[in-house]
Amino acid sequence: MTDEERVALAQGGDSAAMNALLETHYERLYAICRRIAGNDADAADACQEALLAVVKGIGRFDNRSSFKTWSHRVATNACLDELRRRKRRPIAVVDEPDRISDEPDVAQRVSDRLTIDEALPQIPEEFRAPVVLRDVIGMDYAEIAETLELAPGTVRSRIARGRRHLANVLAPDIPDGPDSQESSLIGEPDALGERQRPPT
Amino acid sequence: MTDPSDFNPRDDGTSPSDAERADELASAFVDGEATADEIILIENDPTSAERIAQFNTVTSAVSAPITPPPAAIRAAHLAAAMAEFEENKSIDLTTSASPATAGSSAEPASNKPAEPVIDLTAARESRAASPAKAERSNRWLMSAAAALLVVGGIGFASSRLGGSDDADIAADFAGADDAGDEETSASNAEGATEALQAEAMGESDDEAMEDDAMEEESAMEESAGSGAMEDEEAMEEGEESADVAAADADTEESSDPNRSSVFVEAPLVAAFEATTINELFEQATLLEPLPLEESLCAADLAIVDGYWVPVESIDGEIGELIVQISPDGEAIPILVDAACTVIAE
Repeated sequence: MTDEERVALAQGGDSAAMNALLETHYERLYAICRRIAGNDADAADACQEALLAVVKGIGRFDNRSSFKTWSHRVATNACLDELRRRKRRPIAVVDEPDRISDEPDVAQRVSDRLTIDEALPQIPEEFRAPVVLRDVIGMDYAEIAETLELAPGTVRSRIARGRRHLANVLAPDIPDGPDSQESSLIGEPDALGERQRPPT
Repeated sequence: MTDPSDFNPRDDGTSPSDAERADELASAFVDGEATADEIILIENDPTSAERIAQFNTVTSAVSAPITPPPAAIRAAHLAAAMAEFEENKSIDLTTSASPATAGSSAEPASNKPAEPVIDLTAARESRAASPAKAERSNRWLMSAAAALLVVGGIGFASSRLGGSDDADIAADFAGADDAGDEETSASNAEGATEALQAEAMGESDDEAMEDDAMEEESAMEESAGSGAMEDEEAMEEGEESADVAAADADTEESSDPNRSSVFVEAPLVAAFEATTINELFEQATLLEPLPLEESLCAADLAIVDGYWVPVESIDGEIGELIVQISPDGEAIPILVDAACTVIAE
């Protein structure tokens, strides 16, 4: 049975169809929440909210997009809402012990680097969601644009900026980021435009 | 096909920097979304390889396998969602089914009312039998040992503080007292509430406030009785220990500098403990009621007459206590969570 058929049945009140939809898409929805949330506990709560949002909204789902796309959008928004609610609460700050002044060895520096779970929450939400949908779910830009209701070009630039944030957060000691290295593409402000100009 | 000369402006309308343009090309290349022209550009750019390597590293990290949740969590998630589905289904069938649609189980959504009006009487009956209700209710109305923390007077605070978001204030306040922490134990919740009580109300006000509460209680007892939740009996024991406290904005100033930074002009928040919906309702009557137009949930529940106050559960979830006034003047308290799901009536 296709998702479309299950949706039609679920909208008519068929519990088995609704359950099948949730079972089928649970892993993907959880994966979105897990990456957006950054830890298991928040992901579990966010995923629960996402599933509830899907169930509550199934009656209004109009089949203009696929159920998969729609459920991903619902889940993404539910996760972000859940995290916004949590973010409003002050976080207790624990004083860190004084850092050792000796230069850490390479292994220490590696272990000091943030994990992806720590890094993702540090990038702005508007960049995080498209990066997660691209790299976790494997959506193409058009699907992400549809899911997040953005222009495809905006998706493209947000993914790029999100990745730049992540690259800088994950490995801040890498000296050759884009700001420190001049691209031959960018020697002139309009270089890209010049290159794209059709030959005359 | 994307024209690489047509790079997207930033969200603030400014043009991307050259580095951002190069990043965008490299990122699109990594995703296989670069056009043929862009691929030529990238291949001729000596710095592209570095960017692509960085982005490949990032992509690998983000796309690393995710450990699925334990089977018990997954099962709980699905069970709660299905309970919600059954709940909504029974409400929908009760209220919106017609001879033309009730017989078709595969009726597409487009043929249904987009926003069905919920019959609260039917909703109460269906929810009373719902296993999900007890589970969600417990997050809000627990035993006396894990009492509900109510934050009120927010609308007043908002107006005094120049349009601050209600939920922000409530959440900040609760967080400052550790009441919003998921790890908060029951005793911590009580302690936070007691601390609030101590600050928000002077001893001399205490008795007077309790008297007021008693009067309100007796006045509201009959009208609220019909909406009692099924958990009420199990929670009766805790009722007696539930305290009532309210801020007196005119007479008491907070001495805590941290708190005064949130509530600049006066202590505007009251902390309550409640173990039943009626108890919560009785205490909430001490707060300044907010108009339904400012409620996020009243419209969803088709409530047109009444008032509401913001509430926060012990795990920090912001909700609303909506008091519906029926045509015959009966006050019916309805507790909803942030998603406007009815927790208790």
